[in-house]
Amino acid sequence: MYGDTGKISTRQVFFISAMIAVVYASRFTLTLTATREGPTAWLSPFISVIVLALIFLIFNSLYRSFQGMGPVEVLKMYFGKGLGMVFSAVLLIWMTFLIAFITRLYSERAVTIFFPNADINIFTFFFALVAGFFVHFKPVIIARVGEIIFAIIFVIFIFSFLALFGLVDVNHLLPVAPKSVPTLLYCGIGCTGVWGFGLYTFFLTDHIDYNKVLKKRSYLYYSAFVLLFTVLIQVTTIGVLGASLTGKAILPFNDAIKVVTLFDTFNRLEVFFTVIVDLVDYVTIAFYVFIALSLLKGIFHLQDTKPFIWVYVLFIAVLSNAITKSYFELEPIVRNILTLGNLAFMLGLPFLMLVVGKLRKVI
Amino acid sequence: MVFVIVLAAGLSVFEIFNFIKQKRQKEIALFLVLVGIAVFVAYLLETPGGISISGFLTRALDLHR
Repeated sequence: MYGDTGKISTRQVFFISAMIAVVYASRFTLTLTATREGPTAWLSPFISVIVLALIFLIFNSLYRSFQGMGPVEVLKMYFGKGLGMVFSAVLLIWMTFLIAFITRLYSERAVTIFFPNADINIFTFFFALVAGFFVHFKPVIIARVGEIIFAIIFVIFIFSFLALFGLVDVNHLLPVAPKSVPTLLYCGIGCTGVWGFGLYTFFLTDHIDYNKVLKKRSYLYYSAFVLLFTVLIQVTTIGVLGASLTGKAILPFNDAIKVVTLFDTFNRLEVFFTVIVDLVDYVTIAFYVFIALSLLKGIFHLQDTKPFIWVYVLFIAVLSNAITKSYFELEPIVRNILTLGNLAFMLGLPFLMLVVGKLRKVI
Repeated sequence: MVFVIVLAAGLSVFEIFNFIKQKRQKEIALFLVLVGIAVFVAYLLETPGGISISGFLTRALDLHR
């Protein structure tokens, strides 16, 4: 049904983007907001959704001009040859850093939760090799895998919310005071930065079929879905653990699930949850590598990027070792650099494209 | 990291041989640059203290406060 053109449908991009946004929100938004806002942290996504809607409005105006072009060609079309190349190179460097960061995050999580005494390189190279294997397929196949994972993750999250709701203490979520509004605004923008991890999929411009443009209502559904799930993640985690503990935990949502027992028999459900949710990382990394290779192809005018897959993946695996020495160094990077970088590339760059496009009458 | 260097060398020989057959000089250059940086980073990681990009950024931008 989707593979007629051999390209990803916009609907699939939305599904995968929403899945990545929600999963990364479950990992990072909690520590980001709970440390600053305390009990009112769960309100910050309501601010974030305004910024998200703005991003979609901008993307919606830009889409029609993307037809079949790679990201470098798109940037050149908007900013001219020189500046377009500069933006492409900066985006390539940023994507490489982001991919290395996600690889490191995956292996750090594996070492922290499952195998405390294992060598981290085993997981780094395993993750990189699987990502390299994934990228040999067409993006449309990865998109279908992503759709299946989306369905599984949806069920897992709903189950987690249902299991946690009975344990929520409403006192942990109150009081809501007017003086917390400035912090809410600050954390809300940070929360949009975390959702930004999902929005990079829209840069797969040469692999997306833009002929089936979605209705404007779809953007509303997407925003509502991401908002609802992020608020539920925050409410259940802060409601169960309390804001203070949530702010100090490495993976707060996982810690909240640890409390759940099924029929007083099955414990440690967070391991099952982590294993399933980690599948999203493979789809994320595959899409990010596709974008990075598209950028590499456009910048260096390469005929084919397939011979570069393994060397790029190897490069990423080595670079991920240089990213950090511990999980505790990763958290401030997410809070202070990645959220801002995501906002710059997912809100700043499209906004600049819109302004320049209007001035140069490209759109 | 010896594993990385051996893997990079193996990949290089195989792919560069293909590129030479097809006379694609730009690809050879780019390939060697990527392998070179990977090996250089692998070497830096083995030096005493190693390297940490996030540690450097945290200190440079004063993020730990």
